[in-house]
Amino acid sequence: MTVTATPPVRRKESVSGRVRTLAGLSLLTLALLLGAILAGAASTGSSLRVIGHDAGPQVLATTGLHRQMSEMDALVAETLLLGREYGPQRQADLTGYDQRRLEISESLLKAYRLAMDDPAEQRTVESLIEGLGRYERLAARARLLDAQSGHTAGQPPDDVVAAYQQATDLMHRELLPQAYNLTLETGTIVRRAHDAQRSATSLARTAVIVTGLLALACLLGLQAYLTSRFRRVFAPALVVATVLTAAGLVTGTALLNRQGQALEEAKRRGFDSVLTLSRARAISKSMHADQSRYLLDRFRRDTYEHTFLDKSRTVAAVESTSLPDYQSRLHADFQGLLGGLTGRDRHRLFAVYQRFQQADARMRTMPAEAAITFWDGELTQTYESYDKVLEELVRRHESDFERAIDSGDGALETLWRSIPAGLAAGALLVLAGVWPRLREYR
Amino acid sequence: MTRVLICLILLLTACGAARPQSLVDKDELVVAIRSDVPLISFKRQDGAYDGFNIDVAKDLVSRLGKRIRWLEIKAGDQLTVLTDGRADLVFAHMSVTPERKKVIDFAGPYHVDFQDIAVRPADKGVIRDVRDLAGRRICWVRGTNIAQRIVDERRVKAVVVAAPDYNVCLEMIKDGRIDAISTNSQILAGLLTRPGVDLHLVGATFNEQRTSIGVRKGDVDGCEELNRAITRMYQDGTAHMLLDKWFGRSGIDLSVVSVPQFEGCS
Repeated sequence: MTVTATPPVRRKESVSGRVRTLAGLSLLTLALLLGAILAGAASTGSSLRVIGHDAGPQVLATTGLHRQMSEMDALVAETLLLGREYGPQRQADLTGYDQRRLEISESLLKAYRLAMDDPAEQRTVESLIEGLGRYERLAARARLLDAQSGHTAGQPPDDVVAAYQQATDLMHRELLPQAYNLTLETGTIVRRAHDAQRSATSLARTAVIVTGLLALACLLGLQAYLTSRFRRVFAPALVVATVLTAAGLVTGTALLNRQGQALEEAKRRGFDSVLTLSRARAISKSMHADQSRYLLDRFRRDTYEHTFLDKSRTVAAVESTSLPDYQSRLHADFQGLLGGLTGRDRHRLFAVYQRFQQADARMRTMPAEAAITFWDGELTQTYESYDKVLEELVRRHESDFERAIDSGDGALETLWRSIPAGLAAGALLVLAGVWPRLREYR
Repeated sequence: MTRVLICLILLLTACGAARPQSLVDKDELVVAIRSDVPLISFKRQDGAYDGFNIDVAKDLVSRLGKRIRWLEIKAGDQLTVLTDGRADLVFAHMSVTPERKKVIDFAGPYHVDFQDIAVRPADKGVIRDVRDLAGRRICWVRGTNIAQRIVDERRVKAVVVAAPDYNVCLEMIKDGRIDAISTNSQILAGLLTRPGVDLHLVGATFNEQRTSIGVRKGDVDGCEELNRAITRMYQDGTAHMLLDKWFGRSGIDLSVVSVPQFEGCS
């Protein structure tokens, strides 16, 4: 138990000094380890807040803006197309139009809040509010002229079409692009937060591993020194401290990893997918509107057929030269916005999308009157069942996103609570382990 | 102990260098341009470059706080100057296509143009729309897809006459070998400024042409910064001012200026 030969005074001091140094180093490295873990947790925590609770959900709100605005324009086209015999349906369209306007105001408010420290984005929101006011004026004029003409279902008189052209030009050439760019810009904010987080997490992880290994080395060194100097096999307190440090190192790394994975998951499987699918859904909505505009405006039939083709290729790209060519060549191996879907989702979506395109092909061969009836009935049904599948997919990825964020939050809580306590206990045990040895030199 | 520290430092610096190279990190950008497109990008008598693209490039690059070094390129080089690293940006009136997107990325578009048709003043009354080109002879500059877009995409039965470049098209329409030239309205407006050219712009705005900036594949940061600069260029009225400066008297309808919808950077 005790030292056999009485050591000289100088040696005594040097032994106690070494024990002190080693113990001090162990405590220092433990403090560094704790610091690294806490710094990692703090930096990932702040990015988790940005992605999961601030910018992320708001980006998802702005994706709705594009769809709602394009739906508003589609509803105007529809009321103009359906003549006086469709009274109740036109009333329903008007109610839908007001509903969209309400949703748009909410989305714009959310976007404005998100743009608090970005003047360019704020100006975009302001210009959208101003532009929507102009749009309302033009759309109201088209509707008034339409009501005065009292036409039957089908193409309204030319002055109605001309008034509508002004409104829809404003919507498509100024407002919708701005709404789309707003989503892209807020997406940029999230991407940058995510990238910064990723490098911060990997840095923190390295720091945790290095400081953890250093702490273990110091503790083992202290243990070995005590063993050789004081002829003891174990100092129980130090053994427990070593085990606690090792546990802190392992759980710290694992939790930081898990949090990183949760964010990666939230970003890729949730956020990115929701963004892409919502864009596809917004574009599909305006494809359906292009069909009604194709029927409504004989001056621009070509243009609307072409924009329909353009949008079809954006949503599901297949090499093709013209719309009939696209529709005949459409196959399940498409690229484009929806090209990232796999497995069952892809097949389900392809089936409904193909039916929508086939119905479109039939509509374009029909005479005007029949085409309008077909558009109002079967074609709109095929569009709605396609849109429903898209909506379901968006919902599912949204809940993936929320789940991943929750799991990241959970990891964070454990990190804050248990690890500092464990490491503090380790430090106390180091002191408890070396205290009796140091007392022998008093 | 020192060795461990050195390892630690090495590890940390290795993490810091992981970001891909971006034009954002440079002070001077090499901007590739054409020098033979009137109104859009051409060389003045005094040797300086001028035109709509040149002004847009100057405006956007100064918004990024960088200097420009111009690099003159030929029609077929717009992709290779980026892939082999000779240029950082390409302002060559490029539109976005899926094939091009495989090798480079696109910032913008910075302008939304339409396809238009130029005819002899005598045909002004009979060719007013792309459909009126049925049975007419139109110019096809080899390497472009504009004529195909009329014949295949629109299914308009026009007769395609091949030519090596637009100068030959101008000669052919003058002596009656062809009836119409169709391409981007801005390029047509430029052709119309050539001495001795007497043509009429139909104003048939069809096929949106999204004029974009070529950037290196994977430079997401650079692409996003350029998009922000384009947004500001439209918000503060610079875009409208430049369009008016170069195309205000060209016959192109500038009453509604489309805000470009971005292609997206990733």
